[in-house]
Amino acid sequence: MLFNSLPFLYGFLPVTYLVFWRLRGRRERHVWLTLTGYAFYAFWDYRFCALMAFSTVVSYLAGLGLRAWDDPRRRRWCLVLPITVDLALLGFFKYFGFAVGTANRLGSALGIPLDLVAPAIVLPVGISFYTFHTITYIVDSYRRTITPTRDLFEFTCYVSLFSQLVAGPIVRFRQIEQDLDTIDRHDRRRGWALGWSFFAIGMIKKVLIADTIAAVINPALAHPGDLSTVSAWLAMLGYAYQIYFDFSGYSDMAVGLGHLFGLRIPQNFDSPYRALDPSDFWRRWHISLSTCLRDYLYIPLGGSRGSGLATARNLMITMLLGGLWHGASWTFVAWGAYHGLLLLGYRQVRPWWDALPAAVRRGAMFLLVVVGWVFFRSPDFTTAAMLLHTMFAWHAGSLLVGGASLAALLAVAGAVAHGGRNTFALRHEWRPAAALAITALFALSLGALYSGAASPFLYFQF
Amino acid sequence: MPTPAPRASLGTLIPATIALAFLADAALRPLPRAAVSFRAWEAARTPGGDGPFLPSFTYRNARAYGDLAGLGNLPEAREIHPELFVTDSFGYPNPPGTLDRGPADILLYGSSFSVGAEVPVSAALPAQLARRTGNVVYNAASGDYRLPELLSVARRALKAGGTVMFEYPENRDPPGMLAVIAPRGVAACRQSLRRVDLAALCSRWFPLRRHLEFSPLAVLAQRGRKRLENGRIFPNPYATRVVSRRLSLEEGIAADMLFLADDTIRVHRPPSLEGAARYFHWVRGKVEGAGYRLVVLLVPDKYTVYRRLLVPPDSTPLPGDRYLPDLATRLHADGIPVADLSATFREAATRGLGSGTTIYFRDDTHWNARGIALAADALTAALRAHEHHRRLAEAAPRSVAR
Repeated sequence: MLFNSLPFLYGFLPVTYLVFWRLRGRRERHVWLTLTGYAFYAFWDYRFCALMAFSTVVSYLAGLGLRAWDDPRRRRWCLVLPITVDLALLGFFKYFGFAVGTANRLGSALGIPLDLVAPAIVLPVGISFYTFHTITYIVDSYRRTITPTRDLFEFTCYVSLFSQLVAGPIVRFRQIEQDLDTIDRHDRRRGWALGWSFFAIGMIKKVLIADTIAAVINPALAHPGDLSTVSAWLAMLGYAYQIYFDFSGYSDMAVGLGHLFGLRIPQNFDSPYRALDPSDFWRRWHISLSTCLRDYLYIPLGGSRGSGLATARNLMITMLLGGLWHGASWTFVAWGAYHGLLLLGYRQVRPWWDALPAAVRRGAMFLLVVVGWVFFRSPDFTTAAMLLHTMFAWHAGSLLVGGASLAALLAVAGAVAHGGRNTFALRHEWRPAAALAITALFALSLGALYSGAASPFLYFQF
Repeated sequence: MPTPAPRASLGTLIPATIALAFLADAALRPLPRAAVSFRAWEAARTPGGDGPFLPSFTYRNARAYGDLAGLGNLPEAREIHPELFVTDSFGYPNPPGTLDRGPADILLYGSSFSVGAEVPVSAALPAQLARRTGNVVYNAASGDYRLPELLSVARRALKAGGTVMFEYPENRDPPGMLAVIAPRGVAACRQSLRRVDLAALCSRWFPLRRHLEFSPLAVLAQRGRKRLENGRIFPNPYATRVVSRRLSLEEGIAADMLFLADDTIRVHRPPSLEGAARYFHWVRGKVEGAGYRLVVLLVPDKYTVYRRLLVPPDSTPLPGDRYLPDLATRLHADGIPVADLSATFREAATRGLGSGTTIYFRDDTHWNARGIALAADALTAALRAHEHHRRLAEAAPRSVAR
């Protein structure tokens, strides 16, 4: 079920909301949100509910162990075992086919035909996200950053919370622990207007901007060899805005839904296309993932504490794995490597770069990000190379179909992404004209949903 | 002291908008499908119902257009024509009083070609066949190929020893050979509620379900969206389903003709001849076992008929070209009466170029009244030949006995 779908808006959300606020007790509310989380998840594939339940129970038990024991050996088991289980599940469902395919290609390149056969494995939606939820919980418990909960349903509620279940943000337990603890004391009215404001803006960003851009660029990018240079740039600029408005729209909706239930979900995007440099970009883009990678991978690897070479190694490992997290494909790894190189390059030229005017740095950073999206968007390196060649070597040709509409959409998207305020920076107290304009755009989004335009969020596949 | 600026809460406006959209959707659902359908098929079809179409239903639309123009979202290719479609009390496409003179002599079974929703009732295949043969023809075509349904309708509407005219289009894979079909829709509902004596509720539930499953608001929203997705403002994502090719009608007059994209591919990969032959043997066994005669009518695809006449022509020899003629030869050799329209239609299509006429609608997959007339002629001839052979065959043993 999608947030941007009629069954969600007409059925799931009102029922979940009304029952939640009818229930008074902490336990009842945790149980109810757990049940609705599993029901929400079951709409994709009920079979994978058991997988999520298994991962949840393993992490919960490990948390109890970490709470009870001070013995380092036992604590290490409580750390290693659940993380191994989580990563094994993630590895099997997400990366097994990729590993087999890579081994086959490598074998044939070396003249050793392996012909390994990978079973057809369906990727459970959201596995990358709830696996990160459980892993961060275990590591934080091990580090004693948090006190693991004894309340099973508080934990199941945290892992399966429908608003963040399938595409994040990756909420750490400590970020939501207080709201979960006091879930029976929330004021229903407090988050109502704020929640709907976030939700409406998210829906507009997703349905009216991201999906409309996608309607023009997807047919064009399906045949990258036919594109002219201008069309290729327009299409990739379109994709840059599509993925931003799609994912940040989803995050806004998730935050808004959280507010409706009294839960504060942290900010995931901070106007990333206004970033001045690669480091700044990663402080603003998919914040919940980049901070996880920083805290649970980059810093444990040594961070920037060692030599320049060690720092470069740590950075590249983090970015390569960050790329791979997005999908089981070498193009995602290349995207991670590209950003890793940007970060390393920035470290080398930082004084020179920082001396440039802010507008130049912003513009240049945005173009560098757009070029990186070529790897992210392309299904393979041949397509990526073709697209890059078209973008950087002049190809004459006609404008893509709907090019004028795309240009207008890009102007709007660009104005919002580069010049507009971030959703978190808004006060969400609207003058009547602004409120009516948002409502009209929201109504238009509903019309688009009725027309069958609802499409899954891009980050669901990760 | 300055007055604070008024504030409006999205906490009221957004939920109210959702509620209003829901209410508007609910309020429009009781509308009949006909109110928002562009042709009879969508308005009358009842998947899972007791009959294939709404019973005792009349659909009138002065501005109907072809399925291909609709499927490809190509408003400029529409051939606007009036449509009048009627069904009998069982939900089959027959005008009232078809069986007033008693059971039919011929029962027509087949695809949407036989349903004939695109042409006036008087031009549809059953009417043309009735005029040519002087027989009562009952149209049991539903677009589905479910033999138990055919035999059930035949028992009700066809006289003993009557003829089952089995129309079969080229673009159809041989259906499954299922002698018994699992009940679905209303039938399944009745079966499950019979024990608790609530079966009568099913007939009421089914029309209600049609309204629950169908949102006129969604149709209107889709129309709005399709206007924008016209290939200029936004790309037309539907256009790939349909292929538009130029047809030179007569000196200096050319017209675009639409084809189903799948049909232009299918001609490279015809269905299994063996599978089709086995299917018709099985059908003959069942039909003759029930005391009726079987005549098969093979209808070629529009693309197979016209592909050599397009500008530029597609004259590559393809395996699909021989599919229907080979199937007809095979069935004929096995003693199954068959009329294959391939050669007749290709010839008529070529002839029509000079006079600027076609035998298929230009914006639809189906034949027009001219095409149906040719089919009726071919079927009448096949029926007469078959009758002649049958009489000869019946006479032969008697003469030997003498």
